Amino acid sequence: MSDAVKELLQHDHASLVAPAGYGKTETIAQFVAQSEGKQLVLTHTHAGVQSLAKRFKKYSVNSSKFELDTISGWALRMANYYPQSTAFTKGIPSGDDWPVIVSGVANLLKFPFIKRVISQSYTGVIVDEYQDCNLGHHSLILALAEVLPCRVVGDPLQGIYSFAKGEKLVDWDIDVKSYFTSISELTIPYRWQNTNLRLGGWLKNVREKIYAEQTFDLPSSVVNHVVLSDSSSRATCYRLMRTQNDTVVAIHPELKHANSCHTLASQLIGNYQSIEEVDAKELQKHAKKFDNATGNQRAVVFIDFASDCMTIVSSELRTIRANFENSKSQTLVKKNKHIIDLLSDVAQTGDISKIKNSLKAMRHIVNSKNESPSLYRADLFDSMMDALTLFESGNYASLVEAAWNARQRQKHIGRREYTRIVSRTLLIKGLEYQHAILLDADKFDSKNLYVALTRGSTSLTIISKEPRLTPK
Amino acid sequence: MRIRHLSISNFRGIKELDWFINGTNICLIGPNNSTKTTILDAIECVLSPKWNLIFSDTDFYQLNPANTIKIVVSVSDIPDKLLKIYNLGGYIWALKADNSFGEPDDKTTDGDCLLRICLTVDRNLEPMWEALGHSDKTRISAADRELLGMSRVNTYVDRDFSWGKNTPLTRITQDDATVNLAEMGRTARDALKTNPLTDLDKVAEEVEKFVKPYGVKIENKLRAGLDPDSTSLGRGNLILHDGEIPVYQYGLGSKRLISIAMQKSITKNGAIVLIDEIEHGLEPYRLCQLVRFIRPFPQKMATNAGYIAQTFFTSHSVSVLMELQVTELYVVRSINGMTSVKQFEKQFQPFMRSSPQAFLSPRIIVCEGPTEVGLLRAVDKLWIENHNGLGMTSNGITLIDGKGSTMTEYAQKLRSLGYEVLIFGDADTDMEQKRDALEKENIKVILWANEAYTEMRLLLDIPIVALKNVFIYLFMEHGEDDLLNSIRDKLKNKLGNIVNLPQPFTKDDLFDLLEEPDREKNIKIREALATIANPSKSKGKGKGTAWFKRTDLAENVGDCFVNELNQVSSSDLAQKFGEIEKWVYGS
Repeated sequence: MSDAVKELLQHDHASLVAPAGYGKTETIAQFVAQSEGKQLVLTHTHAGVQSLAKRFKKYSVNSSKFELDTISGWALRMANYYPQSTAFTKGIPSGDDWPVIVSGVANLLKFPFIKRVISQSYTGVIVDEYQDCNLGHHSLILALAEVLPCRVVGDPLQGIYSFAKGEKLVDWDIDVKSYFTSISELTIPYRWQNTNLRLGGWLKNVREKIYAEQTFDLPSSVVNHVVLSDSSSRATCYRLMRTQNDTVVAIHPELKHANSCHTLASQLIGNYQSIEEVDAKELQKHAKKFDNATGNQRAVVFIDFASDCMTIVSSELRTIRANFENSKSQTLVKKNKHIIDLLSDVAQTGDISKIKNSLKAMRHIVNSKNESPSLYRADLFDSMMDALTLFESGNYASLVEAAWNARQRQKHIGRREYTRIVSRTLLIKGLEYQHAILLDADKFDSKNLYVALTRGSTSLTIISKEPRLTPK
Repeated sequence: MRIRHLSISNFRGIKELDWFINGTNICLIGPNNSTKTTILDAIECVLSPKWNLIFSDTDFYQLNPANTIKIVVSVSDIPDKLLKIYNLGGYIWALKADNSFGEPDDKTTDGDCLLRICLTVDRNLEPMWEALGHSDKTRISAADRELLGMSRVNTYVDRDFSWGKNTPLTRITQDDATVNLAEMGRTARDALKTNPLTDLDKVAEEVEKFVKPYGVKIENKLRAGLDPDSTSLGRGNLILHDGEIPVYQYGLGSKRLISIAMQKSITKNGAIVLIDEIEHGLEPYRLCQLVRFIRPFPQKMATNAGYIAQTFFTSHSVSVLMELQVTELYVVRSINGMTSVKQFEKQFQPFMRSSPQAFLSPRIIVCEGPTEVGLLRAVDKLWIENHNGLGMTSNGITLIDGKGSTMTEYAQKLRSLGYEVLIFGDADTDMEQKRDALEKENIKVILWANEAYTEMRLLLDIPIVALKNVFIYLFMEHGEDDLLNSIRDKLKNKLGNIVNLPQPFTKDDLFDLLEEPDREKNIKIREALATIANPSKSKGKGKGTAWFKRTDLAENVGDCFVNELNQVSSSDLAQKFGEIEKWVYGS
């Protein structure tokens, strides 16, 4: 048992700072395995949930010893149980609903009956990635801590969630330290121990530099530095494909919009997948368009959808799309007659199995160079297929609802995994890959930079203008 | 666990029932076919730990499977295990002050937290158990239902005495992790050599401790043994023995007692015990003991041997009623499938000792006092003769003493509990004023004409021969000389100036007075005698004891004249008895 685990067990209300790759997840897994009864293990993202789940499995932590969820997911469940007390009317929560749900549940937790329920249900709560808690989450956790022993784990340097509505994140030094006993930080960079010890050591130094906002070099003995140019991103990504089945993540500095990731993935013709955020806004967007569409518009929705997920479709089906759009005859179109037939059926009947068939068919069209489309947003495409299957079952009122539920299911069964991905830091935080590429590294802010630098266990490639980086 | 509310739709004879339950010891009474047993069955079905309950079309109201069966039991005192959020912790309700169900809040106490368990059976006959929630519902497993601690004490309890699957004996045994039942079964199969069942004997010993206080006489010593009737060998054939005798050969009553004792001992969370016809197979003394033993008590008094949190039982037994508080009585009525259950109020407690049988009758005659009770008992004998042996009892009638001024209140409350009620008493202005209101509530009101009281009516209306017999009886009862002297003194006081009162005053002198030919005078004499017979009715409250203000005396008085009533058929006395007779015989 590590010292950190011992200390966690000793303190009922403790906080632990764990730098990236320092065995934080293992520490949590061992703590859960060693503690009595059932721990409620909460984190922020579904990626985080899955990485914890994997680790619990690896250490054979008995599933009766923990319940694992995101803070929001757990709160939503509570809110659905007691909608009046939490002032949440059931439905699909949208972005604006979350603060209401979280504060509603924090309020619910003050009721004596639910305190009894909670104390009967768990022997303690442990929250991972605590630096990403906003003050709403923080008060929910403090309400839980009134009833249960509570441990929080995180890294202030990885607090990369930015919240649009001016919700403040917890300040580790103020909010966390005032309530929880700080126990000694983790000190051993496990992630790199067997793969790249030198990289681990270097990152330990870099962490201090970033804390101190000092410029640092990219020594060639540790980091592959690539000078930024028009083609350097693509070239680097292609180069790392030589690692064959190794996992590779190419990290884009873009924070909010994923378009740059999609564009790069498209240019890499499906060799890298651009992944969706958990609620997959684009999936919702297309589903909503379909729900509102009638007649030919229904065909147009799915040509547009396929165009967003794969190459070639957009140009190859341009005329067909225009004809549907303008209700013109398709008789003059010579190619892809089968697509027209299927989509005409979709236009006339809205039949779900026909939609699925036409999406499948679109994957196999060929252009004049005899090329087929490359799927570079498989996550989005597959989720739509899932959503259509659910919608076909007749249990959902709309495709939007089916789509939401399709994504909810993924939370539980785990996200599809792709060997090579292009992503923003937000979607890969807490996850580990063998090789990491920082695209346009000068553009990362300090916390995102630290998260990005620590993703790869075996190699780190940095594309930047300068051979040194300055945290900002 | 404790049931706080029960609603039933379309189950057997019950179309609708909606019952808020505020007691813990609940004795359901009511006439046959009032759906008492159906209520127990409904509770049993919902809380049953069986996963394979079998339903058929006959379980539906009016045998119509289109009417989905829905039974909802709301229970408080929820076991901790069910409270867990990943179990049913998200499905907790509060019983609000206005008797509605809602989400618990800041003020909800533990005791008012409920689980609402719903059983539905539709035309597919597949039972579905769910816990109702605030935005959805969830299936509730047979294992979780077992935690609810319901046990139905059945008429057929033989299986309870074996170590078969899910029997109470097995559950007692499983509390002891050191006993390996499967191994025991094998041991049994291995031929029960010398003394191979020591572990089970330990359990049997334990059971003996549980059952002893119930008045079960164990002749020898409880032990485990192989069912002598069995042809196969397995743990289901390992049964409880008293010495060499299998316990299942005991009488029904003892078997029920042992079974209840075992059930109670395994329910640590507070058992809900259901017993149909609790008196079945038990002598009154053992019955009383049982009634006392199943009376629930607060959790804090619970012992290791488990405790009962709530008991529902049906009874038709006076002995049972006499053991109970009247507020533990709930009368069940069913009219066209609409079943209601109503609790008795405290004020009926006196009748639990004096006329417990009244609560078990569908029809009650509330008499003003013991005199009226006695007279009706006498006239009942006449009716039995005239109606082929069927009297008031055969017509489901019990007489109770309304104790004068409280008579109307009792009558009204009993009526509201669903009893058919007749009021029989003296007429006075007060009663005449209430008559309309009572009749509006469908209470039959029989009062003597002209605001007469009973003694008055008797003295005025009883034919002379019978009246003489009445006096002869009264002489026997009170002493001829004493009574005559007292009559003479009082008559002198009242009528000294108009009648001749020789000294000594003999029986024949009294009879002469009764036969006074002057009608006006005769009436005066009889009226005066009436005030002497019941001094409380005389002006200025006369002194002395009433002649027959006691049920037995009044009955004997009645016996003297009822056979002669046909001679005075136009009299108010005969008329009113006639009206009561009509009501009794339902015409």
